[in-house]
Amino acid sequence: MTKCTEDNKPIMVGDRTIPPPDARYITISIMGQPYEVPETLTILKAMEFVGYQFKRGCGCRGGICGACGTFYRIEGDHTLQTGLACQTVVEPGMILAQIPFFPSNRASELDLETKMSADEQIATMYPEIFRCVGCGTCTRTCPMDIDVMGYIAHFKRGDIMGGAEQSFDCIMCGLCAARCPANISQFNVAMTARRIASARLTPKSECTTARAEQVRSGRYEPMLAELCEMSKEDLKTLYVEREREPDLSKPGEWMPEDQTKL
Amino acid sequence: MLINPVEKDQKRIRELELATGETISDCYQCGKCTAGCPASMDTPPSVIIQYLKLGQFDLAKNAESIWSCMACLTCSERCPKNVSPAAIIEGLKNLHLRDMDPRVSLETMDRDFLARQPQMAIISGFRKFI
Amino acid sequence: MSDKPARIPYYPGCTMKTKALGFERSAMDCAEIIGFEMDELKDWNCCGASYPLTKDNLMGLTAPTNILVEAERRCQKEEVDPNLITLCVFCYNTLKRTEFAFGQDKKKLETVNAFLDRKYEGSIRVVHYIEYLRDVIGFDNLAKMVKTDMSKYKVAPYYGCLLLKPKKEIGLDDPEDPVILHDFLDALGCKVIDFPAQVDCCGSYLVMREPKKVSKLSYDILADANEYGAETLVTACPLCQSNLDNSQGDKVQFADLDGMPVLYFTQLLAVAFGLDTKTHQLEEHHIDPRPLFEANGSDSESK
Repeated sequence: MTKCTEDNKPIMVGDRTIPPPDARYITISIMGQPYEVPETLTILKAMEFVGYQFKRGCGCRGGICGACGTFYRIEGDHTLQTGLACQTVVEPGMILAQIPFFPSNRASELDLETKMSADEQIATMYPEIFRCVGCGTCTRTCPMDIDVMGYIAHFKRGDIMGGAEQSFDCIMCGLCAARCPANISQFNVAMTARRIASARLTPKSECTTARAEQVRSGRYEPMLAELCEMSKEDLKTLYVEREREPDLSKPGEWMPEDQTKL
Repeated sequence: MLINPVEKDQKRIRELELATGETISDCYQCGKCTAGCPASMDTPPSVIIQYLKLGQFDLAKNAESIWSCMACLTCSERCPKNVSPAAIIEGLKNLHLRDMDPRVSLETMDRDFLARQPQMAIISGFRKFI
Repeated sequence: MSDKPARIPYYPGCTMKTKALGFERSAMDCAEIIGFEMDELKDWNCCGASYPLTKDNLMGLTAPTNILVEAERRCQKEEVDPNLITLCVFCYNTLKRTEFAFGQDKKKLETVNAFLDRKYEGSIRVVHYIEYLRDVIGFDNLAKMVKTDMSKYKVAPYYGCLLLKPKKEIGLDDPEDPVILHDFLDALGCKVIDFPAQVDCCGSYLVMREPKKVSKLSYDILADANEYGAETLVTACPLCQSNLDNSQGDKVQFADLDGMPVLYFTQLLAVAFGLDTKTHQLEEHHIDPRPLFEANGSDSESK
């Protein structure tokens, strides 16, 4: 349990929380063991409070890396619930297990030059999507409130772009795949679909291609060389006295006087 | 040759009836189901049911022909006793599938073939074979 | 009678958006002429393409229920009749049998609702497009809208299995001796070829494991239609269309049969209405039906 000094002050270890003196403690069960933790902590902080150390892979602590997927039940309630450990606050009677890694299925090769249409490509890389029974367990499991069943449904009917867009918030935590009765690794299908959508379905940005060509042709080399030769003072002056587009100008409305560097 | 249903088989047949909602003893072997079945089964529907009636559960369950059923429902429509051999056959298939014994492998399936099929073939096929 | 065409909630199904796109497009173009609008549901998932034949399988009902809930919500919000129109016969069969099952067994509906955390009340009536033409529009009225002279067309109506069976639950027509597609073709003015194999199974999903058997079954159906004088078949099922059409690539099985085009009934209806069929994916068919249209006439000038 919590390491304390002789006068009961908790010893700080790394990231561990120091709870305020009037903090209320609740009992939760971590990986089968009961612990007393301050009630305002997130699961992640509660685990560190009791002595667990997250040494690798976990995480951003901001709800976006997907490394801290957690299953839990509240004593007395039969429902299995999910959440991100860094975002979910502990509750009295919480019984939890972390899923640091889930073995998911990932198709090995993505051929962006294929003659197959995008929907055929997804269908042949992940034929298991056709086993979806529409039970919606994945949607109910997702900690990011994504309609997972919905995007799989989009892929089944050939709408790769629609499904890719719907899956955008996915943080690849793997909790959906853990519960799917059809053994679909939804998040990997979605990731592949987003890659296919970007490479094959979204309109190409002509101006980006043109700009990249300009860079490759060495157009900006002389300017960069010039900057590198300048003194610190001259650079400062150049920066402070640079022409700036007025705020809220409409596109194409304003042009600088010195257009040699455009 | 008299074949007596063993107690173990009686239990399995009863469970199959509960799972499918069918009453196997209603069948009086008229053969209309077999006559109408398009699947050219080596072990046709009326024979499958006869195996079950005689307590030969494994002969029915392990018949390769059950995998050729295409759920056309001709047998169920024509049965004068409202028995659905298609349902019984699906019940037998489910025993294999629920025991992790599928008949189609996603991994070895020909990808070009998959790309050409309408989704409904893949979806319903997977329901019946995996 | 309002000027605006009736808007009916429409459930496409997965195949309709890819391999059977021509079916949907021709159906929608024809609906416009007939005077109704197929209004696709906003959020829908695959129906499962398979109604569970065993009573213990409730998982097979989850997907159809999601769809029916969505349709019900839409109909209640827009205060329209609780009908859901379908084109794909597999979807029609799955949804219709689910409708029937819930009508018979309220406990089943409650269980599925509890699992899905949704509240389907059981109000939706699933309707097939051809059913709508027969019962709401009327084939007599349909005949009046035909612009092309279809009398040269010798068409065999192919019913398949799931449009009609099980009769107690689907109730569209008699599974042994159906007439709905016959009457439809009659209304168009085609020569209707009645043939025995019109209710024989094409092989359905067996194509996934035993394509040779499907080839044989398709051959039996097409050869029978051919023997009775048909030059083309119409069907309502994308899987039947796929099996019958694509099996004809098996040159060994089909050695003695010239290519017979297999059409969706709405593709033929579009021809009867004299519509532009460019977007109806006729070129995607394995056996190209366009030479037949050239030969028999496909524009309204010919009437």
